[in-house]
Amino acid sequence: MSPLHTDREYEAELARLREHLLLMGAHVESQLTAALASFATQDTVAARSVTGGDVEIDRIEVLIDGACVELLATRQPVAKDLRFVLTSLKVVTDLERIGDLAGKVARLVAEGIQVSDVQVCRQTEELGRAVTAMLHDAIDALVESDVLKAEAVIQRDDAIDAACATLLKAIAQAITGDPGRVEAYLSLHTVARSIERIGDHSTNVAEMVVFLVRGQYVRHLRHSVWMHKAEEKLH
Amino acid sequence: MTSIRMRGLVDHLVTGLCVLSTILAVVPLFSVLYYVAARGLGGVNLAFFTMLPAPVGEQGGGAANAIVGSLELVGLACLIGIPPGILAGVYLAEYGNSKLGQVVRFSADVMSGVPSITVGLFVYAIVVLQTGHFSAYAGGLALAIIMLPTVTRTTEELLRLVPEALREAALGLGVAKWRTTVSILLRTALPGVATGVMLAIARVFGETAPLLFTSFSNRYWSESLNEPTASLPVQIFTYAVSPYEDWHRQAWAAALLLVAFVLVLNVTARLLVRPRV
Amino acid sequence: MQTSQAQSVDLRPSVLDSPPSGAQESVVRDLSGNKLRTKQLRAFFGKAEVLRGIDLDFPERKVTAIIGPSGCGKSTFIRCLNRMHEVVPGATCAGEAMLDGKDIFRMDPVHLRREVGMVFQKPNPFPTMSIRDNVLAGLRLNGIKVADADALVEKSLRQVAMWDEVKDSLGRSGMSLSGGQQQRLCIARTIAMQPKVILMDEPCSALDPIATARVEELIHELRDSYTIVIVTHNMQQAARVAHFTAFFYMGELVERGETKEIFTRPSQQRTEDYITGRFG
Repeated sequence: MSPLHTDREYEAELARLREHLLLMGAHVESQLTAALASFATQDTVAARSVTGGDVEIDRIEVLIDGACVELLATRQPVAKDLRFVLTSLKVVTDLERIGDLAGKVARLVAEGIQVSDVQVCRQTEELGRAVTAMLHDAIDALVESDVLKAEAVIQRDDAIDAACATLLKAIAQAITGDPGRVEAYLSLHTVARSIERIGDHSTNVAEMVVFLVRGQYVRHLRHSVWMHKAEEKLH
Repeated sequence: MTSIRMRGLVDHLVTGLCVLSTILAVVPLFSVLYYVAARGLGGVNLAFFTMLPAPVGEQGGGAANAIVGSLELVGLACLIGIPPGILAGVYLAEYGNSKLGQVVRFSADVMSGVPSITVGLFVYAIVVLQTGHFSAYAGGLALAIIMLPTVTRTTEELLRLVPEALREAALGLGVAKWRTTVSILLRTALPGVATGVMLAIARVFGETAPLLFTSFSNRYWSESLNEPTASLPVQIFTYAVSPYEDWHRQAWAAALLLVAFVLVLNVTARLLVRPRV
Repeated sequence: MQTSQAQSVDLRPSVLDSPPSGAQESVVRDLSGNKLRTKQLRAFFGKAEVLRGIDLDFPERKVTAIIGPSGCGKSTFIRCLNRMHEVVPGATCAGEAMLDGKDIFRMDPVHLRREVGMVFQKPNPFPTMSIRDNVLAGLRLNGIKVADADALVEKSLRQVAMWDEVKDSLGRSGMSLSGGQQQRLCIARTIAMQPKVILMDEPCSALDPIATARVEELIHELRDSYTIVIVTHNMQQAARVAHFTAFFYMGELVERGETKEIFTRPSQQRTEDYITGRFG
């Protein structure tokens, strides 16, 4: 374990940044959980309370952005510290987007999604659970600086995307079978898309963890790497 | 009374004591100057500078040969004493951390304390007795020996004062050590070295004792440097202990001249090392 | 992390007159593209070993920075490269150091120092010489004939971006300049000798930020013509000016690599601890 900074103040500033980051992650996670729970139970009241949680997340985002700028200006961080500040800046964006998306889901639930096709709903709930787990693991990986956990999250993204594609097709099918409720199905469609995007943002967080620990940008390498691996598996 | 007032009083008291002590220390200097000027001014006239001493008992005459003689002796002393002095100083500064350097340094320090009359005796023994007569050469040599330690130590101290950075700069350019010493260090230390030399000259100008056994004295012009030569300090000595009033007057005049010369040398030396902007 | 350079042609800056005497071109040409390399270089003060077996390459026409805490041996190391370390009584070096394939410990130190110039921490123009004489000092004091002195003075001063400032007062004393100008004058003095390598021992420590920036800009301009080794305790400076950075600690070379790698993801924990300020 590396020693502490000679400058205690610097060490404290980094610690505060870390705390804020984790706080934001916790908020966002609880937002998502609440939003998806309200979807499962179709509880419009609970859904409405979720939409209020955005304010806190935005507040913390502003705090974190400010802290990062100040650290960069006054401390000229290098190596691990620099990567940490950059990670914070990027992760904050992704977390904030996740919060927005959770809020969108909650809003749609609050307006009411009366859908008759139970199968499709169940698939959506499953997708939601998988993505919640992804977000949870990504944040854990960030907390623990655990590269292996982060890589595991990254690997799940493709499966999520595939599951979502299937789900969207099923929803499209369901619309043709029940054209009267097209609006409700459109809302469901949006919910599914939102969940997929949450998965993508969670993956971004995990990729930043890899950058934080190893100093490698894996963001856009992913697809080619996994395509390679997928091809290898086929042959 | 309060301790602050007490302290203020003590402060003033001590300051007053210091001022008083300074005045006391300076009083002898100014009294000498005043006295010499008062008694000597009367005797300073054209004849003093241009004429030889008059025969014993007669009035008039001057100290022309003594003035010229002093200049000759000091000039010789410079020629003999300054080059070795500076070179020794250079050696001590640049290479002087060896055993030899320590010996040389110690010798210089001891020599600067040796009584000048002893130096005179020494030169008497090795030059005057060998040649069989007094001469300006002997006198110049004696004065040179007295000058030597001063010049050496001054040169050494001043060279040491030259910042190490300059030595490094020259070394870094690939300049050989001797060249560094000559072209950079000496040039930089030159004002200080010149001062040291001037102060050494001022000192030997007034030396009397060594000249008594070496250059002795001369009533007339010295035809060559190989003859006994008159000098101001010896002249003063001779005249002062004589019974003639006229000679006393001339002695004071010579003393005034001597003091004036030393004063001028000292002031010039100080002006040389005035910090330049 | 050591990266080797492709073979490069020796493009010395245009020579106005014959090159400094004594610098014969080596028959054994170092083909690795490294102007200077050390192998197991050690340095001692008496019996105390202050540098322990340093293996370091300095690629041609690149800037290499050496960083490390006080007492790590970086100044000692750089002084071994032009053999000024040995000038201190009792100080010795061991190991190898090759300049263009020639062992510097077998060369005449005086000749070596004409090929490997040095700029010091505190600007040290010669106080008794004018600006013009200062620039020419190295050549004059070495007895090197200069065909066109005025042209050389102008060229050297232009290279350090000082010509316009001082061209009308070349006769003024070197000490009449500001600190930053004095340092640039010292650099001009060094490059007037047309060295192969320029060593810089914390050249900006005594300068204010603006003067520092100008000297750093100067290093940027010089680096296409000279191989430069700069010792600095200011890591940001190393990050700004150097292609390669070497980290010394307690007389050892801990890590050496491309500057951007060292400052974004160093491979050694000790390096990271030092550059992030985590020395306990």
